[in-house]
Amino acid sequence: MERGFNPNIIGFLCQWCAYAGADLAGTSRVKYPSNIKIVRLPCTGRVDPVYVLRAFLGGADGVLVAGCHPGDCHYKRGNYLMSQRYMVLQRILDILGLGGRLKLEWVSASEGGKFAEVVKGFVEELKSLGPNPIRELGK
Amino acid sequence: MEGVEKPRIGVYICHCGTNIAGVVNVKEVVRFASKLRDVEVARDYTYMCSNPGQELIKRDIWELGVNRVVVASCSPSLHEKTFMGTCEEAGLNPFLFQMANIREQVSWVHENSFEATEKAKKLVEAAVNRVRNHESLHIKKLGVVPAVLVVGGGITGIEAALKVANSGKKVYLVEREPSIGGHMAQLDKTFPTLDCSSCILTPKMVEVGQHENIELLTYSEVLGVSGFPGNFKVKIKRKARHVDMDKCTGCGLCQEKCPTRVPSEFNCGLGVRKAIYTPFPQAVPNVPVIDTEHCLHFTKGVCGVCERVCPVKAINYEQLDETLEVEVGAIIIATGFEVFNPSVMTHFGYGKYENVLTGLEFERMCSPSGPTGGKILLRNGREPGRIAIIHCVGSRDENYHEYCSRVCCMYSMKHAHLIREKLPNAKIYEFYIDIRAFGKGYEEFFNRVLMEGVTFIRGKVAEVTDYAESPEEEGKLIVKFEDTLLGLVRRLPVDMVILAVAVEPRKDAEEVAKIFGLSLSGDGFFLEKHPKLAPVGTSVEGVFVAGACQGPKDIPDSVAQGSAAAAEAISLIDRGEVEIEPFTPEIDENICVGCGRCIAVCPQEALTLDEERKVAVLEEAFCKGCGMCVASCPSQAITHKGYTARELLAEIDTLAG
Amino acid sequence: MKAYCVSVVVGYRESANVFLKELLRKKVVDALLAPAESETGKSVTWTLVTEPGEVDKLNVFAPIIPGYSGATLVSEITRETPLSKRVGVVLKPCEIKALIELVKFGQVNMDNLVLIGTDCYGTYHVLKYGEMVGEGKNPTEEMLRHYFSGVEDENFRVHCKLCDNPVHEAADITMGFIGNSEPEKLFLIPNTSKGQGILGELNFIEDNVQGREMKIKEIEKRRRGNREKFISSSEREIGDIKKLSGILENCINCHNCMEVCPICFCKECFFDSDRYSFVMERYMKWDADKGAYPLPTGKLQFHIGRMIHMATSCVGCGLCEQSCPMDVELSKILVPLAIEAQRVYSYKPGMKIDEKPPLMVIDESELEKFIEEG
Repeated sequence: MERGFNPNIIGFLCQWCAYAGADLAGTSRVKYPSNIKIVRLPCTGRVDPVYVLRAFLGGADGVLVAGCHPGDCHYKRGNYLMSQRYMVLQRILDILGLGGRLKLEWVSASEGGKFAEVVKGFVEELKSLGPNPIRELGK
Repeated sequence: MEGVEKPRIGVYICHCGTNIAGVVNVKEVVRFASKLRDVEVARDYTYMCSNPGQELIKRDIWELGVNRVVVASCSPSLHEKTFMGTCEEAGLNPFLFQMANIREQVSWVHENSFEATEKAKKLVEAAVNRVRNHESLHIKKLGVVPAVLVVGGGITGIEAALKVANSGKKVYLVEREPSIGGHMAQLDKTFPTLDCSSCILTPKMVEVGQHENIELLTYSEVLGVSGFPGNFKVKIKRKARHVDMDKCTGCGLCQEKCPTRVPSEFNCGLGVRKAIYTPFPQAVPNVPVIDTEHCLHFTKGVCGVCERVCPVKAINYEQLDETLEVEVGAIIIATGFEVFNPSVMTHFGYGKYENVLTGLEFERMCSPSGPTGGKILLRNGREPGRIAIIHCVGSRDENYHEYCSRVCCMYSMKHAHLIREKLPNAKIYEFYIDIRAFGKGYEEFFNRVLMEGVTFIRGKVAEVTDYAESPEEEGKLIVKFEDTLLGLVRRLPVDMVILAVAVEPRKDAEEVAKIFGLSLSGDGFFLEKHPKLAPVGTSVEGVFVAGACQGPKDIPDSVAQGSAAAAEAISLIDRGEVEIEPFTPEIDENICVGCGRCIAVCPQEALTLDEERKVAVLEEAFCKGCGMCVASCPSQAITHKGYTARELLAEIDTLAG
Repeated sequence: MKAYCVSVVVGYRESANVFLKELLRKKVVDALLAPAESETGKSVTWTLVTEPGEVDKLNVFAPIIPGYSGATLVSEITRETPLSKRVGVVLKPCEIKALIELVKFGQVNMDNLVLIGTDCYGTYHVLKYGEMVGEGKNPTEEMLRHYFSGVEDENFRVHCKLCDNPVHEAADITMGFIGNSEPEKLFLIPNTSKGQGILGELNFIEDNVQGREMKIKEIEKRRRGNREKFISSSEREIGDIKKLSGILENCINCHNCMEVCPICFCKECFFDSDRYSFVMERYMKWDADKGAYPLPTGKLQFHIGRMIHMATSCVGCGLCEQSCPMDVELSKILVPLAIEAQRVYSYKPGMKIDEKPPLMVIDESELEKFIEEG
């Protein structure tokens, strides 16, 4: 096993689609890296941008927000709201030097395979970005 | 959490046989967990969800004073309810519980035992840190108003209303037209049994009209709905009939004497009605309305004949629209459908050639109470010798409706049969793509019509034209088509063409959806909760859809759905209470500044601004707990019960570090 | 709309007071809320004036925002109960922008309020202003001198040099000097029908405010250029968490920047809430990972978190930076961030009252587009 940098990812997943999709990956025994740790939320619309910031300040190397596909939100527009926040949040993270570390994906309850792919891809992207610079502060 | 006893957390790691333990080093997770702050006890067991497993938890609650529980096992979607129940049985508030998903999201997806164990430890630690901040929650319950609103008085609505009313509950049946009956009242015979449509419908309509539990609101529309499942408030507009319902005896004298003739909507414009009218003789209620757009009194201020002739002085020109508000526990939407207007498909010549009819128009022609008294006639009064029936007009056509309208094959064959009955020598041609005769007795009916000498031609009709290419085509309608079985393009001269037009959503479906908070599916019909398992449910609890407003349906299916929706409504009312979402936001009025951000994002319109106090106010019963308001509040004046900032940040911090 | 003018005999301050006095005398307003010279003359203070005789104290063109924005003041006095008397409030363009944002968030009640705007070519840091007075300079004349000579005063606050709103056309009436090529006239420009009604009743000379448009455009263009330069130079200092921490290193967590920010209207900043502090356990854990752990995390959380909340509505008044006791150059972070956030949402804050800030209404057509495009 390679002993290089292993990014730590926090996932904010909506309980209706993406969390169920992640569960399906399990039920179908689709393998993906263990870097992601999931926080279950009622909806991506519940993802307070400040929580994303908090995850990075706490040292996470990446944050994945995943919810229902457009039109499938259990609460009609939570994913839309999240996508609106995401647009700005990304820019803010760029300014903080944390660009590319936040990812927003739509994963349905039937897309276990897709969830695994998303995680795999994100881990690779983060490996090339290196560790969260906040963790390097003071070193 | 002032005044709350010190957290004593019990952590329970499940082996799930070898499902978890085969990959995750459970013993190590237990060792790790037992050292975490506030952890009173950490245990593992082969199957935590089994009775002995649950007993372990209960005993610790009783004997060790465990007051917070973490179970690390499968996905919460499987056993969260189970373990919450365990806590509750042991006398612990079930919300002082947190689950760590180490099967679906660890052991089943990660092969490396070391990594899986490390992740399981992290998830357990996060759950421990989170549960430390959990607070007791209590599920609130509210009563249910024992009344049902049924919207739409077609066969579906009638069936639903009768079923609910017969169970002893109050029904408000709202119908936009002056009479109930819907499309079924317009039909002559019904396939495949050939029952006379009005003969089987009229008794039901009369029953509705006379039922002590049904308040029939015809010529009325729903303006708006507020409230929440079990307690809806419905605003209904009763349009002015200009005829006093209490006085009118339905003698019909006014209709007889009224001088103004208007094309009859009920007869698809083929016949006429008066400006004061009941749409058809069996109308329920049998009280006419004045059509103010055409009535001379309203348009020119003259006439007044109806007022003069009415023996009971029931005519009231001054009557105004009324708005009433009713309270109901459940709502059944049965607003039905419209038929496709084929004039946009110009190649069929509808609207251009007078003997090209829609199926519904032909239906009226066949009806003994229709414009021709039941005779099949061309516009010139002669009987047609050759009749073409074209299937799938507007259905199964990407340009119009991709779906199959489900009833056209059958009603077209019924039309063929009716023609055969009335005109034994007529030549009848059915142009079809596929015959869909899927219901009970339908295929048998198809065979019967085949035996009755109806010619079935598999092929799409390219055009209906009056351009004759030979003497025998002169004065005829020529159907140009491709016979796909023969592979030939052919021409067929006929006298009459009947278009089997599609069933489509009502034009105002979107507005209606808005009023009731429903969604539309891609085809424009109302979206059901689940196509198979909740066919009459909707995304709004307590609101049900039934019949053709959800998608094309024949009468048996519509009736079945009417009954199903009635059962759902009765079941909700008989339960007597509705549970309110426990994970609702709580607004701290000392922090809220009333900026309105939460109100703007709430999808349930559960939040409003108290203008006086300048704070947002939550109608808890409307809330579905999504938490969008919480994430939008800049002051964090809103606490999301079950997902508080403390709880989530404890979890996030643990996972991030 | 017809515009009017007062000729400038002594100075712009005096001409403005001629007009303001008239408003009180003719009972157009019952009171005026405007900056008046302070006791020492080294600053201005928000003052409520009801007597025409007291108007002379006012110095509405003073190039200074004393402590906090007039918008904050108006919010404080109208939020709970609307004004019972007609009050004319004299504000600079950035204060009007902030006021409009506050109206959108229900923090200002506009009833009985007459908005009187002043042109603004730039303001000085409160301390600089006092220093100038101490040196015997007249800051108002200094500011005007720079306007008439068409150059920026290097001493203006950073934000003023980046501001492309020297005038604000949402005021009922604007008192303006921009357009003059020498101190000749004080323009009185109605922007609303209310403003037009007021000016129509008073007997000022009509004027066609010649040259104003052009001059405004010229200033706007120059300021936008300044802004671009500023952003591109700031970008060299941000985009890297280490440099960013460097900018914030002297921050003492006094939260003055939040206290004076007109957009930070929350009663309690949620970053001040104990829910958001990191527990020592966390710090120890991080420390254990690395052996040494600096504690700037709370500071970053406060500043960046606050900016996430207010960036789309930031009107660029720069009071945050002016009130920082440690001279933290917040503008280096906030200006690019706010401009970027506002660009993403195609939203310019503080322009029109009926223009809703992002996510203050769910635009159904946008939502549909989102659903269709996936």
